[in-house]
Amino acid sequence: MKEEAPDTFQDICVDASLWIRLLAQEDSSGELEKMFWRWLDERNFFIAPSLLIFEIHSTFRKKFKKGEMTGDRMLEATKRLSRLPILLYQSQEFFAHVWEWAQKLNETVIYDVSYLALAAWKHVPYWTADRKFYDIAKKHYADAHLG
Amino acid sequence: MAHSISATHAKVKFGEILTDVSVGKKHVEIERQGKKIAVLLPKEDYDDLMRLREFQEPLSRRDAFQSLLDWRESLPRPSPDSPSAVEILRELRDRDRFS
Repeated sequence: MKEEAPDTFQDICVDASLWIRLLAQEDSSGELEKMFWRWLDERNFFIAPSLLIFEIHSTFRKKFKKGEMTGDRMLEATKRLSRLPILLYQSQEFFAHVWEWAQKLNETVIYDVSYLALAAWKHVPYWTADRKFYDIAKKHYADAHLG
Repeated sequence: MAHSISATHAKVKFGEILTDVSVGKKHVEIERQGKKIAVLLPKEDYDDLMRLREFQEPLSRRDAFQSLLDWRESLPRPSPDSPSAVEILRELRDRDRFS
């Protein structure tokens, strides 16, 4: 089946889990890296709730505690991430959508929900590496993908 | 919406124009001999434009991403015994969800 060409100027919402999977080198096939390169060329912006950076830091903080990462390296990652075309959202309007989606999914915690809410609000693809949440998301949003 | 003024007018009224731009958040085009030669705009709008321009240059986007991958290469390879970073994130999200 021929893959449909994406809208070049469309944004893409990538969950923290997929960024983390890329950064922690947990995809040995190289497919994930290829996908990011493609998005970089074909999409306009990566979009995410402003908590993206905090989630990445919290996850790597665990690695720091185990001695697998230094504070300097983590700060360097933040600097390099900030140079990427990532638009972070935290507006009131956005939170109204997050709230609506949390109600819809009957969720008390909104971390993962907020990425889906953003994708749905902006009508863009939603990508995650979090299988558990993907299983929920795909029932409610046709443009949800597991990477 | 930007409005245009002559370079002579800009020279005479520069203080007022600067207030219009910095406080009133206006964009002002400056003309010389009927030709637009410059634009005055608030610093934050200029910063946004610079950021956008950087993103729109494919090489710059690719360089930024390559620099992130270079950073990644400096990390130790994940141990097969450790939980994956994605699992750690899931755990962090669930900790709040079920506590």
